Amino acid sequence: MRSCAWVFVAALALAFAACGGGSGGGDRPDAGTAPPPPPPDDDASAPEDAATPPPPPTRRDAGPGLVSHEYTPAGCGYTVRTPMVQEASMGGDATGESPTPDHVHVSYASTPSSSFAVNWRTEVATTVTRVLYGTTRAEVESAEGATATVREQLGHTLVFDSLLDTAPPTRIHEAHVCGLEAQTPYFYKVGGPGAWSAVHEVATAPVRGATVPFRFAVTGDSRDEMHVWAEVQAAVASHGVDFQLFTGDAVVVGAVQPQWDAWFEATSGEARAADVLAEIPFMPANGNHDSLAVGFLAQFALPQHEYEGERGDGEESYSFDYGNAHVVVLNDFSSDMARTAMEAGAWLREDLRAVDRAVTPWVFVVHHHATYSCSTVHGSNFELREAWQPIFDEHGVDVVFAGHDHTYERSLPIRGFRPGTREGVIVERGADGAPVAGNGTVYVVSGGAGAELYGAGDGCDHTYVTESVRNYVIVEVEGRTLRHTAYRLDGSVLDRFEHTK
Amino acid sequence: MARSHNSSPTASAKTSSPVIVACVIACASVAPAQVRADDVHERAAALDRAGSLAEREADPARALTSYRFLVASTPRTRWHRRAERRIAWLQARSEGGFAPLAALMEMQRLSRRELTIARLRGFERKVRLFPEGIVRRESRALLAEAWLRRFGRAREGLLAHEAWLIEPGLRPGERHRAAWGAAQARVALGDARTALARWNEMGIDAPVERAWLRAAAVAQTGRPIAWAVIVLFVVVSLGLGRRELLGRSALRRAFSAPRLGAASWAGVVPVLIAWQYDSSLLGRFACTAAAAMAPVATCSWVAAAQSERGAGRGERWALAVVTVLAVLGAGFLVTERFGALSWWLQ
Repeated sequence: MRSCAWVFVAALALAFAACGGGSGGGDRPDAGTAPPPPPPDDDASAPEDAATPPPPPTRRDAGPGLVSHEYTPAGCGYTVRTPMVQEASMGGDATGESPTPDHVHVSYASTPSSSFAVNWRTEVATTVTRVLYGTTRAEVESAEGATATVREQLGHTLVFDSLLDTAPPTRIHEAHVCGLEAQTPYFYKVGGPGAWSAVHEVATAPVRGATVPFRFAVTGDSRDEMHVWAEVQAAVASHGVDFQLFTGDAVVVGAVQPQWDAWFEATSGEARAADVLAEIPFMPANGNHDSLAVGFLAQFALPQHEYEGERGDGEESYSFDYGNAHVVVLNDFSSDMARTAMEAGAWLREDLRAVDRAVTPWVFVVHHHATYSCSTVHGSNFELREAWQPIFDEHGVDVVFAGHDHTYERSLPIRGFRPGTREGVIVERGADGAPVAGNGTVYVVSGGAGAELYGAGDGCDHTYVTESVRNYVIVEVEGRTLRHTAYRLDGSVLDRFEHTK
Repeated sequence: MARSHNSSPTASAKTSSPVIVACVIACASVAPAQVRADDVHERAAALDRAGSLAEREADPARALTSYRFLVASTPRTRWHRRAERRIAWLQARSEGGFAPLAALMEMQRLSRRELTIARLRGFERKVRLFPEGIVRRESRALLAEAWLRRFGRAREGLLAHEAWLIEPGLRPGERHRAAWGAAQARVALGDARTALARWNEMGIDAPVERAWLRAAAVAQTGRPIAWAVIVLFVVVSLGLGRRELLGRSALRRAFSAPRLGAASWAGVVPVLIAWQYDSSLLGRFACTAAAAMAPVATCSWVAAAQSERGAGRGERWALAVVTVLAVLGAGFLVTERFGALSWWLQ
């Protein structure tokens, strides 16, 4: 019998090995990926007071073989700090053999009505990091440097290794452009003399509180099928959105750079994700697969002086105003979900407390793990629901967008909990299940931009509509009216509601 | 005359008509060349709103007019890029003088309740008359996905996906979706082997889908075999037990409490861990558990064979072999049920 026991143990080990070692196997970084090391405590990392003169660029030694660079972009009045990487500094003058930029993409790293930020990639030998921008395409196209009508901004550059494979190091460049006119289209190109990118166009936002119409897209969970991601991006662009919110999980493993490369370079025929990302500001939430890896933090310029969380150098949770809307993006992924929910919740409460609803009547929240989901795979995250829903309720958040479940789902308007339970109270609904006069938060899951689809479930009490399908959402805000439309990839309308308050 | 930029869409809808749009355009066109920036934005917004409204009303020609006028008549604002994108999108779909696009837009905006089988069939008849182009391709996509996914009609879904697949000029992503939908329809119709063969012929580089189809094909063959050996096990063990040759005591030994406990530990605990940790991993843990059942069965077989020396060698071997096969069959069914078979085959 003893030999039998040994046979059993050995066979069991083999069985586990054959299955990929249980949780470590497969493509889930939740289980298999060690989180990046936390940053050391460092008082020098505190944001600079915007009223004080900008300090000279500093280069912080952040650990063995890793550095972080911190500086104030000219005219911006805020500091930018890189994550811990192999190399980080202001851009130089060197150009390598193939210096032309790629992966050019824009975002809002500060006030959207007066600034934008741009990132791009080059070969490692190229350090030149400049942006030329102006309001006339032809002038920007012909410029090799600053002119009377074309301005120049310098940026920083960094190099990091892809952690989980043998890909070569990646050089990313980042520049912040500030002092712009609101609601104005700007043309820009990045790189340096002799190695400029194509000219792209990006528009600044209306000033805070302006009631001019705008529209934005919500997408999420693009990992897996890049051709779907490319098609979603083409569809989003065709709607003429002003910016794009992303509910997280761009790639399967955030620490593997080739996956990010494929994400930026995704194509399907003439549909190219890169064309869209270069012109429509992209504002992502961190997903559990992105895992706040250096690939996520280094390649997106996001507001980073609002929240100092667990390890994201401030970029994991942030907020911004676009016209008469306030948008909050939260990180909900960490090794300690309860702690993250509590800490981010405290910041969220303060952030929402400062919102003047007379100026920005619309409040949207984006994060990854859905607090209301009926999907057969993950479903609702009750820890987050318990921690954050009272804050959403207290401040009357209008719509919460999440992903994680690869489905589309919209809840009925919810406010408060049923006594003694963690189930939300469904409040009065109008046509198409819309809230009435701002009463109730709508919870939307949009996680269908490329990841394998999950079962939508049979519908829960809170569910108004759910479907297991590739999808994206277009939200139009026009004064006190919000128009929400979810589309399938075939262009058909999956869901819509209109809400006026 | 241009409506306020914060007028409600309800009001807009009530007053929407080509006449109103013409008024918006006319008023915009007579505005002085030097206007305040706010006015410029307001005029552009009004034209954008008119274009959007026309699109919501499935009138692409009117939308195109609004967007073109926006681009031509106002200084460049943030509305221009949007209008240019809409113009490009509409112009690319102008075949047949916009009639096909208008018909497609009508279908696309139907709510779930409004889209009925009768409407879908009616649209299908229209699509046969559409000229070749993007609109016909996109119409085929809508039909295929509606039949298969919204109405769950595999036969109609297969035909619609095949019609989509032979459309000229499919983008790689469209071809992938069309081929995948056709394959899923075939699997739903119980023909996984043909689905796999066709998928392989297409040469699409998609290991996940290929593995899923291979798993479906293996399951199509393996499922009846697995059930057959389980039934055989039940018949043989009951038969032997009734004859009391080897049965009851051996079965008691083979499936004694400690061994059942071990089997439960090997089989159930990983699944419970997966359930608690991340339910999306359940399938893979179930695969692990199913694989672990094989050694448990082997142990039981060895123990039973050793413990019943009085029984005939033939009966002992027969029971042991059938038991192992039955456990493997159960493992196969569990693995297949939780989708882990395709993961193994990747």
